[in-house]
Amino acid sequence: MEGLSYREIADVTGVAMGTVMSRLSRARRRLHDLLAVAVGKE
Amino acid sequence: MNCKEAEALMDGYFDGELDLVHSLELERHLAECAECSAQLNRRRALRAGLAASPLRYRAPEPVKATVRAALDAESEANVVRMPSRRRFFPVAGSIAAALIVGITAYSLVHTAGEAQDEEVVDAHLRSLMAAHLTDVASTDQHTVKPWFAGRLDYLDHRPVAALVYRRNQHVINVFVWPNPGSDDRPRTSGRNGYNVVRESKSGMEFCLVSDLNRAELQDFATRLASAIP
Repeated sequence: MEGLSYREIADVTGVAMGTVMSRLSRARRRLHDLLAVAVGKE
Repeated sequence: MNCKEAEALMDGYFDGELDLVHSLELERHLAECAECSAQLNRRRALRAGLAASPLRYRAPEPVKATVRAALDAESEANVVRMPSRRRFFPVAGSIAAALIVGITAYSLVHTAGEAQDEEVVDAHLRSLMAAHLTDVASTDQHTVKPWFAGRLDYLDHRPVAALVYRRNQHVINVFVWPNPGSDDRPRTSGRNGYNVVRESKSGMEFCLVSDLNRAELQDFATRLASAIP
């Protein structure tokens, strides 16, 4: 997220660090899956 | 480390947020595991692909300003500074001070005298081998760059503290022991391709050893000293 550290993300969003990490992980996986489908369609 | 553990640490490692101990363990696992290496490459490909594509979204300036303001407010509120991406090195000033008090108490009468270059470089190299780089580091699954990792070591037959830092692929051992005497500016030497910087501050001797280049190691030594009260 714009070059911020996990710690900074947690500070700014007011969310716990563990939550930041798991959300990022899940978001990446989902993005990868979505893109894989999109590329597959071409 | 098994693949399940590696997968859990992968994102943290990829974002450069994983602490030294776990990073090294993960790298060891990756060297032997094609599956997990592929996972890492998948992340690299995703990042590179997104950065280059029209999908890339850049935060508008007002948003950035709000975020920056929120961060500045946070860092003022925190007494102990957590390492920030923008900083060159994490400098654990207050914990270094606490450790120094501990070591001073532990080695009441004795001080480590002249630990020669050969000895400190050997100790540095030994610390890189096998598992004994730190005695103190979080084992939490969500470990994210603890700002302090260290161990006890021996130099010149005396117990010394070793603070462990990392800059890119370079491990830096900072050996610390009590040394009554006046403050001393950083002095640089080297041996076998490793650089050694020594300095004294507030009754403690600091001996930094790394394969990091001299200029950066000296810079780190200066910042470290300025963080010691």
